This record gives sequence, structure tokens and C-alpha cells, in this order.
Amino acid sequence: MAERKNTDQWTSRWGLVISCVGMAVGTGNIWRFPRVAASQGGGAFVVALMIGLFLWGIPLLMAEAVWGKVSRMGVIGSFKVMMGPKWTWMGTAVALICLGITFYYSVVVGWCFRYLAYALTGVIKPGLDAEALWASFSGTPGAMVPWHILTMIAATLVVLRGVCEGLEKVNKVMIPMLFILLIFLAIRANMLPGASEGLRFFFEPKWEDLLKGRVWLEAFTQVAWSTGAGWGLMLTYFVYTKKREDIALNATTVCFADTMAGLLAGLVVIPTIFALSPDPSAAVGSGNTGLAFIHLTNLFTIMPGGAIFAALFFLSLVLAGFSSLLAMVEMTIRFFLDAGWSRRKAALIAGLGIALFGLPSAWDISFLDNQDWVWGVGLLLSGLIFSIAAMKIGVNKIWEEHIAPDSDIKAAWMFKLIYLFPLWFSIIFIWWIAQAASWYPDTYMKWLPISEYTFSVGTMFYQWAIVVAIALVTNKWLTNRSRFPFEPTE
Amino acid sequence: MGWQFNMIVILALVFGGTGWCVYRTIKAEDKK
Repeated sequence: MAERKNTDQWTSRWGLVISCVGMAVGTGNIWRFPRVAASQGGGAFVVALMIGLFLWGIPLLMAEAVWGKVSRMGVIGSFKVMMGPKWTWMGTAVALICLGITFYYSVVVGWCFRYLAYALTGVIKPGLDAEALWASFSGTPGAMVPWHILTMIAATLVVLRGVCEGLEKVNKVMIPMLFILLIFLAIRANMLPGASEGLRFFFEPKWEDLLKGRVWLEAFTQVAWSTGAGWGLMLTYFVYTKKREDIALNATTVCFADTMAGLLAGLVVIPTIFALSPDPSAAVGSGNTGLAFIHLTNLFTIMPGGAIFAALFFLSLVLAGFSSLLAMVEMTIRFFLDAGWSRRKAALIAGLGIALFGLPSAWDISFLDNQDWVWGVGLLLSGLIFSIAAMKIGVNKIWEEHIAPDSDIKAAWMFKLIYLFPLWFSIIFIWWIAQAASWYPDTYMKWLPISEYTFSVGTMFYQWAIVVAIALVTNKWLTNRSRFPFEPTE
Repeated sequence: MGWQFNMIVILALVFGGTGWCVYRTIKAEDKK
């Protein structure tokens, strides 16, 4: 059954831009950016990050947008159209890596919903032991499952309604609300006595840190994970654009708005920690979930008006995470639409599939940690695939034929920086592999049981090998199935 | 240069960059 020609596309550029910002701004902006920025030189980190946006994020997002707009197919079909049927497997590999993230990201958004419910039902109150609460929620097998399922039901209901009535309408409410919430929370946090110490820590000029390799590596890693560049999500959203759409400006807007969200979150999180925490360095040095669900939750219990602050903080996490999850679910169902399925059937099957494959992560947090590690670093590979594909087609050709004609920004260099991508990839990839090897000096290639070798080099390589093998074996079948591109009406 | 100056420069850079992109988008929408 072919997908009928319809008008289910973005109604305006605003709808597209806001949805793309929603795709990029995720939980990482709120719990990773402030933590890493504060511990890696503050202002120096932001400068390195801005340079990273131009060297990594913007060129890749532009490439993705071209793939979607030209092919009008999802990640898998777009590689068939852009590169030829022999290369469909490259799209399959990108799609499977993103799918690997989707399976556990739904669980992560479920945590945020759970903590929002805790805040709304008065659980986060003076005397609460936040560490025990998190340990009991994350450590009890099955406790996370209902929240994961509820999250997937909500996401499926949105994508079921389509691009215009579902994704665009929901994002147009959620994303402005997220920014308003972050601004409100930042103002409130900075009114706390002692908050200025946090601002000083965050913005103290430490320009000499720009000479440290670690700052650059962390900044580029943040760009790779935060902007959504190379995930195939921007690609999916650009399938539904009008025939003429400004790719360069939209990619730049997404990257800047993504950084702005991170900075606003930093203005919420760091001053709160410095105003209330007896040991701010320990809080900043803790992991993502430790920061949000233990340290900050503890602080909310002693903060004046903490219950309301906690509810708004976890609501902002929900908004950021859920809007990114919607893009991932749409990425998943686009393949079924390309195969001629109806949106209803595709959404239901994709929603059910993600809910099922997400169960191991919802059941056991060490499995989720493993998947976060494997596919988080795997995203670097996705970026490499896009950059190599762009070079094979011709970077100049892509710029002149597909980007420049409809772009207000006539800066070809912004896209041509994609030539340098393999260099950045090699440096960052080797850094991560070297780090991982040092965690298990003698057994770094072991991967089973996953609970023991959660972050090993072996667990990455073997799971990536499985994905590439699946992509290669299914190449012909998936090429033949991807036959029904979206047809824009204007 | 103190941290306050640093803060203003960084916020201006990021918020200004986002604002500029939004302004160009509005201008392009108006042209249509």
C-alpha cells in the first residue's frame, strides 16, 4: 500500500525550526552541559564548544538536511537515493545506531516522568534521602518498566497524529515552554544566597584551559552528543520540508539554540549547587544521573519553595527529553512509511518494538549504561559515515546544487569544513578508546557478561560489528523495500 | 577581566548568535 500524497508536512519554517531545536535539546543539555562546562574551564569550554559547532555540528547537520530534503526518504532510503543501492547499508548502520539509543532513551525519559511525579506528589520534601530513593528506583528490577511503557505510549500517540498535527503542534508548545521554564528557574536559582559563587565558578576566566587537549575533546564530544548531528534525526525532519528550505540557516539556528539551552541550564544548576550544597565540587564531579536525581534532588528538599522548583526542573527535563524522543520515534517509523505502510500501522509497530527492545534497559540499569556507552560512542561513527558519503558525492556539488540556491547564508566554508571531519573523528575516537582501554587494562576486549564489562572496548566493537553485519546482510532487501518517498505539495 | 565580564561576553555570544538566527528566519518568513 503506497503512502498517499498528502499535505502532512511542516506548515511553516517555524514549525520545522522549533521541532529541530526540540530534537537537539535533550536531557544532556540540562544534566551534562553544566557539569562538563563547569569542570572544564567554564568560559574556555564554551568558546571551544562554539568552535566545535562550526567544525562538527553545523556541517554534519547540513549534510543530514540535504539527505532528507533531496531523497524525501528516511535514513535508510536516503542513502539508497543519494549514494546508490549498493550503499543502502550505510543508512541502515546509521539507523540501527540511532535505534540503539532510542531503545534506552525512552527509559531515561521515563525516569524524568517518574521524578516529575515524585515532585508533584510531595515525595521530594525535607528529610528525604535522595540517594536511597534513586537506589531503590533504579536498583529494583521492574520499577522503571511502567514509566518506560507510559513514555512510549505518549510518544506513539503524538507521532500517530502525524507531522503537522502531532510533532509540530506538540513541539510548538513544549519548546517555548522549556526555554521559559529555564529562564524562570535561572532567575530563581540566582536569587539564592551564595549563588554568585556558582556563577563565578562557571564563568571565571580560565583562558589557559584552551591550551588543554581535554577541554577540546570534551567540547567536541558535547557537540557530537548534544546537537544531534549524525543521528539521522535532522534528516528525518527535513523529509517533510517545503520544496525550498534554507538548510544553512536552519542548521546554524539549531546549534546555537542547543548551546543556549545548555547555558541556561548551567545558570540553573551551578548556582543552585553552590548556594546549597555543602560540597559543590562533589556534585559537579558526579555523573549525569547522580547530579540530577541525587545531588539536585537533595538540594530541592532544603531549598525554600523547593517542591515547586523541583517540579519545574523535572518538567523541563521531561520537555527536553520527550521532544528528542519524538524525533527518534519518527526516525524509526519513517522506514515503514518508505516501505508503503500507513502512518497508523507504522507508529503502532514502531512504538511496540521500541517498548519491547527497551525492556532490558528498563529492567537492569547496567544494561542501559552499556547501551549508552556503545551507541553514544557509535554516534561518532554515524557522523563519519555522513562525512565520507558527502565527500564521495562531492562537497562542492552538494553545496552548489542543494544548499546555496535556497540559503540566505552564502558561506560555503561552513559546509566545506566537513572535509576536516575525519580528522576530528580520529582524534576523539582514539581518545575514547584509549580511555576505555585504561578502565580494564588486562581485559579490555572482553564484553560478556555485560554487567561486568559494561564500558569495555570489546563491548563496543562486538556490538558495532553485529550492526554492520546486519546492515550488509539486509542491504538488498532494505533497498527493495524503500520505494515510497514523501511527496511535498509545496 | 573579571568573571562578570566573561559572563557577559559568553552570554552575548550565544544568545546573540541565536537571536541573529531567529531574526534572519523571521525576515525570510516575512519575505514570503
